[in-house]
Amino acid sequence: MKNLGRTQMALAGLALGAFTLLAVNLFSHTLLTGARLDLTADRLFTLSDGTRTVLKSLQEPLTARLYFSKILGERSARHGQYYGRVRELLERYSQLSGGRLKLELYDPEPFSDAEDRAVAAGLQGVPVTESGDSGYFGLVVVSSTDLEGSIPFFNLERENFVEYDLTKLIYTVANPKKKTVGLLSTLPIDGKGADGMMGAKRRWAIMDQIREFFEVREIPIDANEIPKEVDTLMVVHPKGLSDITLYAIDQFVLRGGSLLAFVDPNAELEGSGPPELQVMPNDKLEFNRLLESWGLRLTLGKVAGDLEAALRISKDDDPRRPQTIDHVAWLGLGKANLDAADIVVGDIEKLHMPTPGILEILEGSGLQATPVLTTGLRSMAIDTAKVQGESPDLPALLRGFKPEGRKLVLAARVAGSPKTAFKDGKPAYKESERDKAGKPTQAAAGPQLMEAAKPANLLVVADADMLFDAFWVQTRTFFGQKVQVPLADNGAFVVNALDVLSGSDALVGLRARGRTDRPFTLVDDIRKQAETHFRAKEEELQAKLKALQDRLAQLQKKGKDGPEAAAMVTPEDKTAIAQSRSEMVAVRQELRAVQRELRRDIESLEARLKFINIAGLPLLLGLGTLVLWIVRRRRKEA
Amino acid sequence: MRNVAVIAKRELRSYFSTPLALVFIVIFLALTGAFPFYLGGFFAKGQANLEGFFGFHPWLYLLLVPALAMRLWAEERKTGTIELLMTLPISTAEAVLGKFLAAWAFAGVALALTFPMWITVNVLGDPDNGVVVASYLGSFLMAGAFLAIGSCLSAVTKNQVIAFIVAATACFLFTMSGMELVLNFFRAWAPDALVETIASLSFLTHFTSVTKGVIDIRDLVFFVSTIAFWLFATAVAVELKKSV
Repeated sequence: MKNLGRTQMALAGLALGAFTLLAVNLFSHTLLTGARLDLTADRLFTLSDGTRTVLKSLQEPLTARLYFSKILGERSARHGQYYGRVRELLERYSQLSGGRLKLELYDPEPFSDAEDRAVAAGLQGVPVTESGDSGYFGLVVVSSTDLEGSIPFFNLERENFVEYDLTKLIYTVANPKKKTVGLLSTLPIDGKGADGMMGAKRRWAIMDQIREFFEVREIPIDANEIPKEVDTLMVVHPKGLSDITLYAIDQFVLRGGSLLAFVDPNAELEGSGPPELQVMPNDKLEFNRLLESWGLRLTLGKVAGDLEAALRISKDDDPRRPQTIDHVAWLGLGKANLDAADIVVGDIEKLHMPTPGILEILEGSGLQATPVLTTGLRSMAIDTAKVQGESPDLPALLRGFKPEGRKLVLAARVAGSPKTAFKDGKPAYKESERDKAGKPTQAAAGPQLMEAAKPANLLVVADADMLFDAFWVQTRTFFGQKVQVPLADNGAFVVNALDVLSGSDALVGLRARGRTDRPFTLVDDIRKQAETHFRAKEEELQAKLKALQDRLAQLQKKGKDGPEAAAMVTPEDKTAIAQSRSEMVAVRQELRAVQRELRRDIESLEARLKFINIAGLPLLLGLGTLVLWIVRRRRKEA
Repeated sequence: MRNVAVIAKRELRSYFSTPLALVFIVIFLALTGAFPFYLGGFFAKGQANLEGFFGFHPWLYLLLVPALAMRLWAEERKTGTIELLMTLPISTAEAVLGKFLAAWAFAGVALALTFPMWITVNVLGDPDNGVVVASYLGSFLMAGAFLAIGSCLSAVTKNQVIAFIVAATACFLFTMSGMELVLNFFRAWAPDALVETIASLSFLTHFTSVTKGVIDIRDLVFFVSTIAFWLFATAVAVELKKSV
């Protein structure tokens, strides 16, 4: 009887314990949100100052409606987890906004009112059940004046950027005015004349995309002032700009305007511009004067080549034998070439850059220039002359390629407070420089800014051709509708860049902080070293091979010069031919051996690491125990 | 508290008096080393992180920790040394805690001996070491939770093999409970609240959340409260059996 009582007591105790366990966890789950220690290097789980500023500066009340179909969470645990994160983030946002941001949660079940509203707000449903029911996971933010914006679907791939996306959405709903982009271009990027008219130039696809998000204002290439309304100035292939215009851009930047520049040492499309702009090869770029004051310089007369990023193009000089060949100066950039931490390129997968230039980051400018796009390590600066013309000698380019083992900068972001490039005052009035109307141009009136009042926000890209349709987009007509199918993300890149540049400072500071790519640098180094070693040897062997081939050809030619000449082929010549042939085989074998060598170092590193990690400590422990055991035995015996 | 330390020391010493400890550590190290390389594609992926390494820990613990825990009480009962232990002037709670801490420290040593992996990844590239620290902590906490379950189930039986099998099963359930496979089974008939509760008890969910590099107080509360509950259950079991 006593035992039974004890057992019952014990069971009751256990039940109570289990109940406490559940209660404690339920309590902590709902109440202890946000109490966490963020150990990640990039502080991925801590809200940035940018978000705080945006939330604190909210003037009007906003309502955030978060839609999440429970069924989606049931089908995909990852979405369920992501939803938890988004919801907690928004709850935190709501706290930080001081009540100005209200959060509402909805589960849009199939055929419910909530689903109808989700669809009406433009949310994207994904099929989750066999019967085709849709699952939703999106956000709609509505202002008191019925302005709204949405994230149609929270894509798992953008999880690292979720804070940026949320903050930007709230920011745009709270500040609905479209930003103005000033376009200063020497290329006919925005089209000229009406469609269908003689001599009319079609607007490039890139401008269609930009106009979707921005007010575009064209700035003449001889402007002496950038209008005040311009938030971001987009400069495309600034060639032959006068000092007066350069000065205008300089002052615009010092005033705190942001700038996106596409400079190019070799614009393939130059011919399509107005004839007066077709200046001879770019041995001089006036724009470098500005770039230098920002701590950058475009290397003139050189384009960047990259073996790994080379685009494979078809070579049609012989139509009977279509061939593909790597164009080492037409680059297809991938994740490895982008600074994944930069929001501008954060979700870019692929960029095409035909004959991009090389930016040099100048030391001691006091500004902070960060590469955004770079080549890989197997890159080289190529003379512009070698890639110009209708059909450059691609095989020769490939043969003459000597990797320099460094990453060439193709685009860079500049932050900091630049000083003027016109230290000696405004550029002087020049009689020779007249604008189209014949009036002499003059620098804008007003005092000159010598130093930036606000931190500058600049992105310089060393390629202008990347904007042209043919390099990144195919426009198809589909039942009378124009459909643009991008081949590369050049368009997204430009719109992203304008977006980030023209956003508030707070928004710009909100860089995607998720660095997902952390490569084995040691392996890369080994590969690089082996490669340099291999290239030298390869070249030596190639030269040898070539000499042998020449000799062989010579000997054989002697034999072909007619029957009597054939008789002239002496037995010595015959043995020489045979010898040359066998030597060639030997050289080829050697070449292959060198190539194999390349991979051996890395393989042996892997094998070593495997051994150390799997067997290393167990062996040491076993050995230690053995020694201990022997020592003890000896002691016992003694 | 002193009694706890005494018990823990006695227990730890007993681990090393047999080759069991060595065998356990060697198997653990060999497997934690081999899995990321051969199954996780650690080298082929070329990424300087330990995701692949820590990802296997729950599954390794599933087999190894019950093996470590099975002898905690079952052996004492089988050999009768439990009578001796209970005659000592210490409380059941102290004995339970002492034994658990010894086993946990032992698991900690085994885990710490995987340090070559950490060095490896730092030599190869530039990993986020904050994430690695968090992951180690998460792994250690999870090992503690597994051990606490094992300790309780070892206290209910004399047979170590049974203790092992039951503990492994229980740990398996706790690991799996966050998985869709399991939850869908419950969803068909159980109320949502129950399903949520089951999901929230999953070791795997809490562990993966920590291995992202952020130590959420809720994950901490979960592991600590789980350990506390199972140790309490151990004490109850030991008490009950004592009187039988």
